[in-house]
Amino acid sequence: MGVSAISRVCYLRDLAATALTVFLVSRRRETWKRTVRDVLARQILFTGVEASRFVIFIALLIGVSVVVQAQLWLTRVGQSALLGPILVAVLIRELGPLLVNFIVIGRSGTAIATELGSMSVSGEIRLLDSLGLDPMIYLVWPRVVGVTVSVFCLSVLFVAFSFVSGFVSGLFLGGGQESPLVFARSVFKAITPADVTNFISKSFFPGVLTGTICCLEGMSATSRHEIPIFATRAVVKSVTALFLTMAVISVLTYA
Amino acid sequence: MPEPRAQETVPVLELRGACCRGDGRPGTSLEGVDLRLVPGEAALITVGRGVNLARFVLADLAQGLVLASAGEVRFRGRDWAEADPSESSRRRGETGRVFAASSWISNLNIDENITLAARHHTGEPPAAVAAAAAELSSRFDLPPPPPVRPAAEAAERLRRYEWVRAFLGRPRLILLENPFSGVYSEHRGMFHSAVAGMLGDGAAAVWITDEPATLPEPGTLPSRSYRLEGTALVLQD
Repeated sequence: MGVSAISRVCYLRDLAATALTVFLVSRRRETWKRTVRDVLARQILFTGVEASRFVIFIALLIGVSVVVQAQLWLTRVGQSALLGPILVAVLIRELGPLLVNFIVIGRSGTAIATELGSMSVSGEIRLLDSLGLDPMIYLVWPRVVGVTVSVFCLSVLFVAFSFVSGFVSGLFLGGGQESPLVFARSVFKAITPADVTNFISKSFFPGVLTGTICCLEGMSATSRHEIPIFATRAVVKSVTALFLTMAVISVLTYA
Repeated sequence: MPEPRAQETVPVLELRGACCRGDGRPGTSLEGVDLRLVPGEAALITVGRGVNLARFVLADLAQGLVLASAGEVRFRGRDWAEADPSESSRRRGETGRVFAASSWISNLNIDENITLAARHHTGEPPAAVAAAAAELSSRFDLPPPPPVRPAAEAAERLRRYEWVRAFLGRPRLILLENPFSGVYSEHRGMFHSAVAGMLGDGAAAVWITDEPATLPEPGTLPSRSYRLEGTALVLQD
């Protein structure tokens, strides 16, 4: 039991140290070399751009589902004008960042852990070190930053498209506002500074943790048969970190 | 043609009583190693057949990838133990290495692999780096590095492209671990010439092998020969 607790504390320490290092080295000019920028661009392309169609598709469906539920209950209590604020509460505060983080963990988290695991086992990380490319700068930093930037951008995209689908389905269901301007105004009116802080925090911190956890787990593999084990571990730990972070941020923002 | 380098008096590589504690397997431990290479010099090191060159720790010590447990390892006058990670990485960019076991970044093309260090450490335009890589390739009887994954290239050619990667960017120190492994003997002469050219340009070289017959003929390079005996490096006559 003591050994297990100590190893967990050590893991948390390594996680915090890596995430902090990512933040600190971001301010150094030498981190932004062209080779590292290339890796960052590829990571954003893979995690952000290539996932955008799927995220938009899910956002459109979620917008419809939320509106159907909201319409049902709001019509019963005669408060259909509250559709905008309800969407803000559900989509911006919780569902948007949560689902986007889930998609990114499932799609990119496993890919990062598997790729780095394979590189570690085949001696490619040692090769990079030998070429004078610090694995922290060349491998970890662009992946963590790429995942974080992608999660934030995808969350914005998710919220925007779910609102669009919410408005359109509200029109079809007959309970929403007829003017998009009125709808937009009711949505923006319902957004408070706390919502903005909450949204940014829930996009930023889980993104940093997902990127860091997947890199650390991937680089821990020492043989080929360990790669899927560490990839699975990366997903489980990322999901755990996601829920913990979401809960803490919600408490800190709204309690 | 690149500008000739200014004459340097500081040794390129200097090991003073360097020790390294390994895991007990041959070649992973070293004790009291003294080795001094000034620009233009080479050390030819022969190890016994029982030593797995991929685990022989001397090249890692020379590059600061492994720190000496006792003694000093200095590269161009600076002890690796005194350099922070950022400085160490930058200084490693001044070395070139042919690994004992073929080693490539599998998700980069061969041309990207070869030019990676030069693109990372210098501000040279990509076209100039690619042209230098193509020129070096032609010296080893190879076409310009192709934009294909390493897995798609023949092993013998891949090994020669490793030479290109090691020599690109005019490194100050070249570490060669069985560079002829898997290479046809007809290509050895052009490699010897290239090493001689690098030494003439002010670099130093450490050539490690378990096949003494592949080493250059005595007298063709300004070099000293060593032999690994147990954990000690013994100078040969």
